[in-house]
Amino acid sequence: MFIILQWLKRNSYPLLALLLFAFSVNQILRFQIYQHSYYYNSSVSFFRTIDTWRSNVLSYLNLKVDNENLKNENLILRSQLGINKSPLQTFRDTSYYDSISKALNHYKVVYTYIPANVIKNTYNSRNNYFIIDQGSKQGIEDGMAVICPQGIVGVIINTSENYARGMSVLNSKFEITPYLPSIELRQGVIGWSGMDYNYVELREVNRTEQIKKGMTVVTSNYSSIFPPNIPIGKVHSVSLKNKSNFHQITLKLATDFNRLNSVYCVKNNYHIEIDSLSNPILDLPK
Amino acid sequence: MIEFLRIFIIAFVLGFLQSFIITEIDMGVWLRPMPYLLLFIITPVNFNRYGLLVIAFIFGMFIDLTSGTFGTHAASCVAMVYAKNFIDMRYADFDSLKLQGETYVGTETKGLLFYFYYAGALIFIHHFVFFMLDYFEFVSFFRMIFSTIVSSIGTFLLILLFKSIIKR
Repeated sequence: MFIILQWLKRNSYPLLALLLFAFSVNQILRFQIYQHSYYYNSSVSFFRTIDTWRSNVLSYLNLKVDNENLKNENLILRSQLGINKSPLQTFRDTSYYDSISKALNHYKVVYTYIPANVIKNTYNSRNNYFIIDQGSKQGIEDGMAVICPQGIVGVIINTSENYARGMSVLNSKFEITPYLPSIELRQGVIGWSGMDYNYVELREVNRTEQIKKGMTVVTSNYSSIFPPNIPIGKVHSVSLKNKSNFHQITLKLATDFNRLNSVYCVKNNYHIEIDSLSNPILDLPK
Repeated sequence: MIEFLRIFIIAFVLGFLQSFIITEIDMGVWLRPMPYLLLFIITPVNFNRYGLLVIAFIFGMFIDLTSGTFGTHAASCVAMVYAKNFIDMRYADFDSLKLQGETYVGTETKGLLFYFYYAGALIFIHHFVFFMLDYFEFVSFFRMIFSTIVSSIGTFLLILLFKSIIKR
C-alpha cells in the first residue's frame, strides 16, 4: 500500500494530465457525432474481430469432439446410404449411365430416420424410460428404434400426438442381439443388470468364443428394429464361471445416458413384411 | 496576485478573440489558427504546474463550449501544457531568466531562434493533438499533418502579432 501511495505521489503530475486528457477525449466521444459514430463502429468491429478469434480458438479446441460427432453422424448416413438400401434387381445394360439411373430408381429405403430431442430421461431406476418431443403426428410409431450419434438408446413403447415414450437400454425388459464385427459373432443377448447406467451385460455367449476386452459390439443385422452396425458399446470385462458354458461379459455402453439430448427414431419400413415371413404358420405344409 | 490577474485578463481577451472572432472567420479547410495558445507560452516558467494543467483544461473546455468542439481544445491544451512543463525543465533555464529579471520565455530573453523553436514546438504539439482528435481516422493522416503544419504557421504568426501588441 505504501509503495502504491509512493508511486502515485511520484507520478501525480502525469497522472493528472492523463486524467484530464482522458476526460476531454471522453467528452469528444460522447458529444461529437462523427467521432462518436467512428468510435462506436470501430469498437464494434474490434470486439467482433475479438469474438471471431475467440470463436476460432474455441472451435479449434472442440475439433476433437466435433470430429467424433461428425464421424458418428457419418456412420448414420453411411448406414442410410449403403447398408439400408439394397438393389431389387441387377442390371446388365450396355449403357453405364442408364444402369446407374435405373439402379437409383429401383433402390428401396429400408430405414426412415426422424430426429427428436429427449425432454425427459431416467437412468437411476430399475426400469428406465425417456420421453421425446416427437409423436404420432411427426410419424413416430410404437416399436421404432431410438439411436443417438453415440449408439443405441432404446425402443418407442407409447406414442401420443406430439410426444413419445421410450424404453431405454437401461431397462430390465430391454434385450437385443449383438454383433461383434472383429470375430463376426452374432450370439447372445444384451441386457441391463440394474447396477450401473454405464454398463450392460452380454449373456449367453459360448465359452468357446474368443472374446477379448476392448472389442466393439454393434447392433446385428438380424434385428428387425435396429439398423445394423449401430454401436452398443465395448467389452469392458470378460470372465468364466466354473461349470458354466457361457462367458460372463460386461460391456461399457457407447451412449452416455447422463447427457442424452438429440436422438433419431428409426423406422424399419419393411418391419411388418419381415414379421409376416417369420410367422411359423407359413412353414406348415398346405 | 497582479501576475495572476494579468494572466486572467489576457486569458479572457484571447478566449473571447478565439471563440467569437477567429473561429467565425472562414480561412479555408487547412488553416485554423489558434492564437489563444499565447496564454500558455507567456505563462511564467515557475508557475504551479498542477495549477497550469487545470487552467489549461478549464480554458480549453471554455473554448470548446463556445466553438462546439466538445473536448478537442481541452485535450490538446492539456497535452501542450504537459509538454511545456517538460520543455521548461529541460531547456528554458529558469536561473538565466531570473538573472534577466524575467520569468517567461520570450524573444527578448532567449532570442528569436530559441523562441521560434520553443513556441513552434508547443504550437505543433497542440495542433497535432487537436487535428488528430478532429480528423479521428488514420486514412486522413497526411491531411491531418498538412492541416497541422499550415495552422501552426498561421498560429505562430498571429502569436507574434498579438505579442507585439501586448508587449509580452
